[in-house]
Amino acid sequence: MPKFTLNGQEVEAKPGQTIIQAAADHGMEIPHYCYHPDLPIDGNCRMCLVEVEKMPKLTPACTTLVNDGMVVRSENERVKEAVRGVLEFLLINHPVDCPVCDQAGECRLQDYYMVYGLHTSEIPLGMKVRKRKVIDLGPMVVLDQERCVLCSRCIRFFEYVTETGEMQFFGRGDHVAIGTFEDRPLDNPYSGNVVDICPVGALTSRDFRFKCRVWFLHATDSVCGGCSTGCTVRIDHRDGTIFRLLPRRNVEVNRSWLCDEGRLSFHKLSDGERITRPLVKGRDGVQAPVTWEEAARSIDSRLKEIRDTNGAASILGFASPSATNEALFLFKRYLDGLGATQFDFRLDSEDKKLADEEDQILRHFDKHPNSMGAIKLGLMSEQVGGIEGAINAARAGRLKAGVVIYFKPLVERPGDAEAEGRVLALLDELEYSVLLTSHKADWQDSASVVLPVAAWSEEEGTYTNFEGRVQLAGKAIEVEGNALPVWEVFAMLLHASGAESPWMSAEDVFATMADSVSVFSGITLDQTRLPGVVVG
Amino acid sequence: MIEFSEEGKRRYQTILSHYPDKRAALLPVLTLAQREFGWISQEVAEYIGKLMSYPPSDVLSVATFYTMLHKKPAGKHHIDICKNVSCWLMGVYPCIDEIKRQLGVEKREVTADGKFSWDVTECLGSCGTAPAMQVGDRYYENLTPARVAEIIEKLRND
Ligand code: SF4
Ligand code: SF4
Ligand code: FES
Ligand code: FES
Repeated sequence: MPKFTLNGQEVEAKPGQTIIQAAADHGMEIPHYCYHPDLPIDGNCRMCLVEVEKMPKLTPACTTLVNDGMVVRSENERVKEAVRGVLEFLLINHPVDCPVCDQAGECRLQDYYMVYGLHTSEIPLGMKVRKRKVIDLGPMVVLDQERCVLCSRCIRFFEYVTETGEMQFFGRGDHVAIGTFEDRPLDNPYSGNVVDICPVGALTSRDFRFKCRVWFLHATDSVCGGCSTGCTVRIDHRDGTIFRLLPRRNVEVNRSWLCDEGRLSFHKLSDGERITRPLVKGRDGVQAPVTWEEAARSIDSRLKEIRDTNGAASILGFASPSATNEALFLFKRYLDGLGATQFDFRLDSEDKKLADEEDQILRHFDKHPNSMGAIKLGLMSEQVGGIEGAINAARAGRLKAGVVIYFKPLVERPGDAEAEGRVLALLDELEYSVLLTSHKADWQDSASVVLPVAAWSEEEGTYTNFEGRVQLAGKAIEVEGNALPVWEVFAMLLHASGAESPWMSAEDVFATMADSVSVFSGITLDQTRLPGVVVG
Repeated sequence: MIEFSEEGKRRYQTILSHYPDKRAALLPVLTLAQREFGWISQEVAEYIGKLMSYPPSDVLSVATFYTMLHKKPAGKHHIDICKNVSCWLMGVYPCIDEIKRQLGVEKREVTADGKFSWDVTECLGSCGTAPAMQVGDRYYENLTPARVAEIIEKLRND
């Protein structure tokens, strides 16, 4: 381990680390534009100049490897002067249109100008080289060439990550401009990432731009609900509305990337009406609103009745691979308590698609965040054989009652409607059915009871991705109406059935789960934070 | 769809044989393409990209970096006349005026008959015989307005 001195403090670096990386490990950010931890090093912007003792000139921290005994200074006047110079060059032709720029507030040009620049521009506006603005680059990205600092991060992303090579510099000297060939749209499923990595307002998000100034947004750490990869994300929201999803860097899962579908998946949540109150079918066959207590009492007594007449094997627990581990754990605990033995969650061979890569970058075929969690919690059985098996068993009269959790996938695929159709078929075949879901749909009339529950982003909980990595997702949005998180519904049912129900939060449920389910044994909620923990 | 001529294809193969990796041959191939098609249009960039396994953006990026590769149509004879220090001292500006008078077009424009276009360049490395200009592969040195007129006349009948 090379040791070196950084601004007077002796610190350690990992072998092969550059100065900028080692400094970052010690919580010190050296200014930079072109360096990005998940892209190949380019060394073109010169913002990261530092002083290294015995080197005659300042040297870029992003390209210089740490050597044992190196003495590095990144904060003295000589360095600051150099960085100021670089900034002044970068701003020569910059249009300074921050008031109408969507990047304002999270722009590296603004930030560094405030720290290092604060110079007066020598270039009158009229003399600046003008370039093109508001260029449409497809469904995700809008380009403003004048604001580009020519760091080439976007070029390198398309060259090395997606290997599609759409973006390049054209021209030379002060007329160099970033763009695509003939302004062609960026049409690859990861194009939104360049908006995140562009350090300035040159590439902005078509979806998010001009919706909200970034300083009004609140951030909640979460996990993407779009597929079994479980990318680590941040939800930016305000007043109960989600404005965007951004990746949180997680080298073990998604590095700094998200797929475009996942990035936009939150829009699905505002598609269609929500169910706001528990509904129970009366003698007239019409669902009518009831209180949660009434609903819980009636469900518990009906299920027990059916068990006592038809045996516990006539009760089905059909889980959703979109629900959290905590939800699924209490779901199973409640049904176990009734003596139920029939469990499954597969609407569409999720167990097989789960680890199947849709491409070599991030996406998996299974569009649910927690299929692995459902498997680990024992919610898959050959005996039931997925939803088809369950429908057949109900038709044959072997299954009489079912508790079903269903969420529409946040990332759509052909076949979703058929999968939903199978849920309806199951409800139709069952004599008594309890459906937990978030959004309204006509087919839900078939259920004996409909319980409104929190959707993705509305409750705290953990998800287990395709490789068994458990990650915590926080609650960003308040649930609508009287809806409850799924775990709370089952905590209530456990209480109604006379069992112990001591949980006050998803965290409490997690602790019980870690105590009682062997795959989760010994892990703490803290371990499920970045980068998450892989369970056996 | 455009394509190299038979002769062009042969030359292309010869160029490739000089490099360990075909992508390394981009610059000479672009030069060849300019000879074949007159200028590097987007269509040409795309064709070269396919040929050499480059995204078209990379080809155009290289082409737009080099001023000697035309990014818009040029005349059959493209004149590059040097306006740098030595040529300037030795009186290139009257020669430039003569070009303009003879051709009747501004720099980077093409004459109606498609025969000529012209531009000014930086030092051609021919300061000892300034003023100098280049037409295609040929240098013309020690220019005077009269010589410029003579050269253009000759090229016109070419
Ligand atoms: S558009 Fe953004 S990411 Fe791309 S080169 Fe310019 S500043 Fe860098
Ligand atoms: S790959 Fe999957 S988890 Fe990652 S962003 Fe896309 S949909 Fe979400
Ligand atoms: S960050 Fe080091 S040169 Fe750009
Ligand atoms: S200055 Fe014209 S050739 Fe050198």
